[in-house]
Amino acid sequence: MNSHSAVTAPPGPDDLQYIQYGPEKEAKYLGAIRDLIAKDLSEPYSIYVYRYFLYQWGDLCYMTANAAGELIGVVVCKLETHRGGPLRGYIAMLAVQKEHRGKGIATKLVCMAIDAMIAKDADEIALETEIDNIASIKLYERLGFLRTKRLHRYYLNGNTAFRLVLYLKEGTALKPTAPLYADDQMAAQYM
Amino acid sequence: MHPDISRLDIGDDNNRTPAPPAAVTAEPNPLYARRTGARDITKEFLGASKELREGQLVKDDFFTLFESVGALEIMDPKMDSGVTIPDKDRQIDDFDPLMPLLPEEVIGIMDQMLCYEMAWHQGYPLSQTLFTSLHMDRLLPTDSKPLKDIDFANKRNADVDGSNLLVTDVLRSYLLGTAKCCYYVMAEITSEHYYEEEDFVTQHFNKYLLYNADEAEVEDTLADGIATLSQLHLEQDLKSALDTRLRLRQQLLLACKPLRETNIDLDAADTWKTVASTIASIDATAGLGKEVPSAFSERVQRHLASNTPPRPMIKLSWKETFPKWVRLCEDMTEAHRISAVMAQPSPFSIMRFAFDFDARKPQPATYSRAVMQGLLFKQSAVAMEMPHMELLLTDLRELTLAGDVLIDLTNWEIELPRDPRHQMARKMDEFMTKVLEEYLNIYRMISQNRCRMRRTMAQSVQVLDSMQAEAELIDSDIHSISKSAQFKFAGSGPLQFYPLAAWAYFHKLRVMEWVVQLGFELEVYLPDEFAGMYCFLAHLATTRTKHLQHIDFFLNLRQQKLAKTGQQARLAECMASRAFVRTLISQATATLGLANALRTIYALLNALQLIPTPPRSYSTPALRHELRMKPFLPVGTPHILSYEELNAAHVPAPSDAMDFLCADAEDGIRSAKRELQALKAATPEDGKFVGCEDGWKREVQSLLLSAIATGLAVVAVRKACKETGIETVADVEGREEEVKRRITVVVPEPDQRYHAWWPVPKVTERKT
Repeated sequence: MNSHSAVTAPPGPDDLQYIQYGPEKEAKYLGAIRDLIAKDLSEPYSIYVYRYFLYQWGDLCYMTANAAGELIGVVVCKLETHRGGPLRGYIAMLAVQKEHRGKGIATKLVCMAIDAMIAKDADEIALETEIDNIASIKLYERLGFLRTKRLHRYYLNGNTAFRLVLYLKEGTALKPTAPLYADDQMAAQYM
Repeated sequence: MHPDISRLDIGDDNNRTPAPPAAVTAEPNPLYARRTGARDITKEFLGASKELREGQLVKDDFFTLFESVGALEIMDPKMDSGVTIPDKDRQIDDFDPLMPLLPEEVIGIMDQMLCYEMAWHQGYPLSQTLFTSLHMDRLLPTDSKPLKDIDFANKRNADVDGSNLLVTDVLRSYLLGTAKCCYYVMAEITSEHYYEEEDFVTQHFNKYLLYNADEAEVEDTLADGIATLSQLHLEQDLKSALDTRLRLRQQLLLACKPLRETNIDLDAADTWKTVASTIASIDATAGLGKEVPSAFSERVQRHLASNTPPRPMIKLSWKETFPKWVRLCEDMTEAHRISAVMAQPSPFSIMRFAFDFDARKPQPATYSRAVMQGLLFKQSAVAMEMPHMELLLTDLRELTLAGDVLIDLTNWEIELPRDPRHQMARKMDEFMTKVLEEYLNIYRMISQNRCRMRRTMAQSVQVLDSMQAEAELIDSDIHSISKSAQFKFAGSGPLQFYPLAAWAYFHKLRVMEWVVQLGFELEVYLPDEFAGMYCFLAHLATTRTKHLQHIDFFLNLRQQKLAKTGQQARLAECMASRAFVRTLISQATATLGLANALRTIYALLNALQLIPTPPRSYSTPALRHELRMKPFLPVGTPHILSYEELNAAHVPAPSDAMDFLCADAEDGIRSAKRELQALKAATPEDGKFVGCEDGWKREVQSLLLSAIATGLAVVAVRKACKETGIETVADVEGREEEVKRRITVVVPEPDQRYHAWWPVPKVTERKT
């Protein structure tokens, strides 16, 4: 998945509120979430992508809104067993409005998502981000993520990505996974 | 909400019950209903929809993220390539391919096509490249057709007297030549291993790329085009430029002929050299062309059979394209240089050749890599002359079985089942059959894109580990059949050699090292991890050095045995292997020395706090160590260092003297240099790099430069420590800022290093 646009800095100003998504917030926020994320994409995701995440893991979606209730930032995630092995959290989308970047909003959103995944007993958290999205890579690396793979021409626009992974528990590497198919990426082929 | 999308969302808006679309409420066609038993379910559907909560997703367990990402929303112009945009579509609908063109315009279109063809080679689909040509769009049918019937569809303006020959003959033959060439390239790529969409897109959008057309017929069409051109009254320079372009298509048709249809034509290198010189002539006359933007449109995607959203044209200028064509020609010429390797073939030189080829910068295009794979794999032989079984057997022979009775070919002629030679032959067959695929996979992996190379190698470590275990079992079986692997040594009891397992272990260790080294090349590790990763690499390189010494020990015993029994041919084979193993030892030791030196210099720089280290609030060093070691944890041997062990091996203690650490790094550099000098002096026969001499020289040189540069870094660090009065690691505290004022550290990007696997830090004094 794409769209990790973020920057760093001390925690955001006080007039911002951080909200956990829930089905009752769909009418108010889904359109705004979509618009915010689509801004950074070369190709829009269909509505099913948003529903896929928000319906199943809405509680792992966090939003930042300003005093007027307008959406400033959002993080969208999922959490499920990875190929029959570890319980893997996945940060699918992260976006903060351009004019609000550099205030630590993205970091705070990601931390809230990580905390929620830890509370749900996640073994690890993974994500992909474009190799030239330095701000995004730095954000995750500051939190402890490591680059584990470089993914050649991963995105539709031909850009290459890094996969970043954060282990949360010891022994995660030894949890056996099914060899062939990874559901959060293109079919992982092994010759 | 996006206006177009809101129309389609169900349950998106609390206050709105979506009006059923007109098509659904229309009276069902009675004829249709009778035939198929259709019934109107609108009411039931809407009723059922009301039962759903807002945002509720109804899906089965097989609807994954992959499916949801692949979904399109009909009528959203960003997703639905079928949406009409009248202003832009008019260009296509009204396009008349037979509109007369100036010769300059035909040149412009041809050159534009070369740009798109190269963009396609770079991994973009035809729909965003060659197929945006409206001439191509009109020319190519969706179904197979005789070549003579493949013509520009719209004959509205066709000149009956044939005065539009520039289009109907010259441009047409050029386009047909391009289409056939695309088919050849696709055939080559799909016959080997590649990653769809990542390396290349083979989709042809239901357009007929002349796969049924006879090659000679396409050649004739181009020859006719050239003949027609010669009859036209055009300015000489334009005529000659057009002629060159048609000839390029002829040459490419010849050069791109898929390998499987021919015997390997090692003259293909010459064909590619001819292509290169023609491309150069095209570059010289590119200025004659005149662009025809109206002859290209990304809106053709509306007509192409595809389920992807509309995507932009990939515009490469001729200036960007030309060097890429030159590069393609050079890569193809280089690939066919495999004949030089086959003059004295060894699996080690073949593998080195393939490795060097893939490491060329920029990396050869998918097509070139497919041809390289073809040269290694087609007809289950290397260059169609060394069968894969022989390749494997030679690898075993050259590394651990030199002079061993186990690989005496006469064993295979013995038919008496009780005869140990017959039994040995069976055991060898069993082993080779079991490991062949995984062994060949090494050649496959090194022919992939660099990212995949590392990923597949990381996955193969475990498989190679099982291969080693398998080998050990068969070694034991052979021990019970023959005493060929049993040796007496200096009064000790009999020593058993496990030649098959030793061979497998060597290959496994090398792949493990490559995984780590590619991690440096692909910038997977952050500089503050370098000390630890080089420490791990040094651990692997030590293990490999010792393992090679172990092999040499037994080769030596075998050599002595053979010398006593006077078996000259075997003796010579054994001695040749020992010379080879010595170069392998030098290589492993050079890696070890350099890895040790870089481990220490980065450990020093970490201690001096000159390498930025992220706070990593959610992680611990032990968890990160586990993540880094993940591909290696399943292996039985070598021992994978625990977090504590690795730490102890590279993190300096507070009491460690800076001078001592610097001297330690210098030891590594000295050792690496010594071995590299030995490698410099090695003969291609001893080192088994016949045909790869240039690559060998370049590598040794780049490693020497890396070693020298590491030495400079050590000098700078030592000086800074002295000047700031830092004698031990503990002294750093409180003086970090002073150190930072004196020196700066730059970790070079991969393409700025002497060798992409060895990021040597540039430590420079700040000017005061």
